[in-house]
Amino acid sequence: MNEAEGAGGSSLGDLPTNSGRQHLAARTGRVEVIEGKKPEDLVKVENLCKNYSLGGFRSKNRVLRAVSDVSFTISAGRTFGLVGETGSGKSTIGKLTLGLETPSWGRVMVAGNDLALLSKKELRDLRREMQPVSQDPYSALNGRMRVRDILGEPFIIHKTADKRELHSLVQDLLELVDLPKDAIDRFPHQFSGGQRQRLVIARAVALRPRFVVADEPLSALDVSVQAQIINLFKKLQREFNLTYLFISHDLSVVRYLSDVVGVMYLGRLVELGTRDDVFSDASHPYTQALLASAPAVGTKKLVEKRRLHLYGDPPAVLDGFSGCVFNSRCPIAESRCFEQTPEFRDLGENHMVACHFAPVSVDVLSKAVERRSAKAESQD
Amino acid sequence: MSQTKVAPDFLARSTSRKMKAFRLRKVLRWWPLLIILIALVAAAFPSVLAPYNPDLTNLAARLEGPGFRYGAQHFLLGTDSLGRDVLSRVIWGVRPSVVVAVVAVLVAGVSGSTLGIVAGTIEGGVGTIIMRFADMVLSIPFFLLAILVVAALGPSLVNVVVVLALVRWPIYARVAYGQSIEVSKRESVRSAIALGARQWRVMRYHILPEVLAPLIVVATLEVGSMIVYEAALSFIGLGTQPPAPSWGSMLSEGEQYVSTAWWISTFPGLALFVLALSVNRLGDLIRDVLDPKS
Repeated sequence: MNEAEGAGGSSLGDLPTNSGRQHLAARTGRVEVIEGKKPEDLVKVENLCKNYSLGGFRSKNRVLRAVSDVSFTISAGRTFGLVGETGSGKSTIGKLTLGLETPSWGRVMVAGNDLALLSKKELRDLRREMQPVSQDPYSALNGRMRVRDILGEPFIIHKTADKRELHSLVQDLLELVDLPKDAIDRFPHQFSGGQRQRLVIARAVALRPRFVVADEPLSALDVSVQAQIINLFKKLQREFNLTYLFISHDLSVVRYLSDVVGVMYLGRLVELGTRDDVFSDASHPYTQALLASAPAVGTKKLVEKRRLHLYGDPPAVLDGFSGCVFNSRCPIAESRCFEQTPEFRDLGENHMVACHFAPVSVDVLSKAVERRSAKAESQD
Repeated sequence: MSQTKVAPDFLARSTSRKMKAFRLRKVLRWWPLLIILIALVAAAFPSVLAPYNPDLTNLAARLEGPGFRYGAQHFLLGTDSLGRDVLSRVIWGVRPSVVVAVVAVLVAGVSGSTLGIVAGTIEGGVGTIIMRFADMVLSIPFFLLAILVVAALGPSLVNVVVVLALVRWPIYARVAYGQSIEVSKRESVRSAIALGARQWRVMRYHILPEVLAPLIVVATLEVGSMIVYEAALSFIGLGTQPPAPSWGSMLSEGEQYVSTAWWISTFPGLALFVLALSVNRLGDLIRDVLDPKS
């Protein structure tokens, strides 16, 4: 666990404290936000683990490790991009950081508050500071409510506005996300997918939170609409100094939006670093394979090379799994990788990689892939 | 040229006739509403509709068949063993049936739905306890419990309502529970929780509106069952007490004369059948209307 703590303490952004936020806090009289030792770290995740019991009557200890030993910090006003394939635990991390799920192990700190130590009421109050933007704008809005009620609900829940103010507040929100003001009396089904996602975003930022978790917010949208929503995210971040946890499997979007990127595989963070570290200087075999699979995204160096194909599907990480999570698909895996879990090592300047052989060069990796395919052919 | 004009004209007329028939059938489907309306009027103003006092005995005119005339009096559906007018008693008998059915459905529906929504929304042991309790209640034989409660509290309409509500709330709880579990997993409900909404708010504004439609259908169908149950309880003497008229007690009074004076039990039975059927049909119609898939 020691190696992970090193990652927890590392702040990857160097933004000044959020003093602008504090005067807003004083004005609106929101809950007291205890500032942590490092105030620039708005969100701090330490050794986070989440296990799901698969149940089972005869085999009692079937536990799925959705998230294991994940640590990272997000600086205020910055965007942390989380990439990884389906089932890698990205969404679970999103829910854990919002306190919508309780971690099996580890700690989540938001604005200096340990979510696990808060009472139910304190957690409800803190929710003004952290909001989700969900994947599917079609199911995220209550179809029986009008826009007026959907966007007014945050103010009612936190009692920050009386009924007379509500109307203008909702109109301001509509304007903020570039929707017409007369949309106020419409129902969600009267909007397009992109407009609905704007509503979802408006609802999330209604109370001017500091931290927004966007869980694949673009995956249900047309490509043409995606760009508009991305720009909306950018605009809101500029305006309100928002901190994003941006979860996506779309590498180009993550590259465009993120300051810091974490790459997940099977519930573990395998690489963590600044955007340039991860995209231009990928050091984990999985990250390189991931980048190589999206030719438009990789650096020239990667695109020129042969694609690094991965074979097989990721296994289920159940209790009793040992070694590196990537060992079953890694082209350069050796016996050591099946026995020892690799440390999350710092390659310098907080570029963290969980691989025994890191940094792995692309040449080594593609040669290993070639050797493997040649071997497979000769066996045929 | 003229032929080409005739054909569409003929087609148009035929479709309009079909449309008319279709519309008529659509309206006629709602016949149960008419019966229920009549029943409600009878329950509200029995003295206006009933030709005679239902409790007025006339020993000179006992056990007379339908259409019997006694002086100026005309007993359309005959008289019973005490010479009381069967028609008037059938009309007066609507009230206990309707009142008991509606009140029992309201009490059982509101309490059962609330418990079901709570059980389906709150994760953890509370929901399991409520639903296991509901299963337990459903496993108790209805008449056994009815006899027990009435024996303990004494026979009266209020106690009939108590019994019916006690026995039937799990029906609503089960429907509400199943629906709430499904609804509470929706993204929109999660987003309300993520906003910091309290449990009651989530239930009231996000879950209740979604589960209301099936509950209304169940409640309507239950009114039909409750009418029959009330009659059954009155039949065995646990409900409405004589001489007050009710369909169940009329059935049991007429039972011993059924071979010689069939009308005493037949007409209240018929009224019971028609009303229960209408309510059930109405429940089906409401389900069709509320379910957009059909």
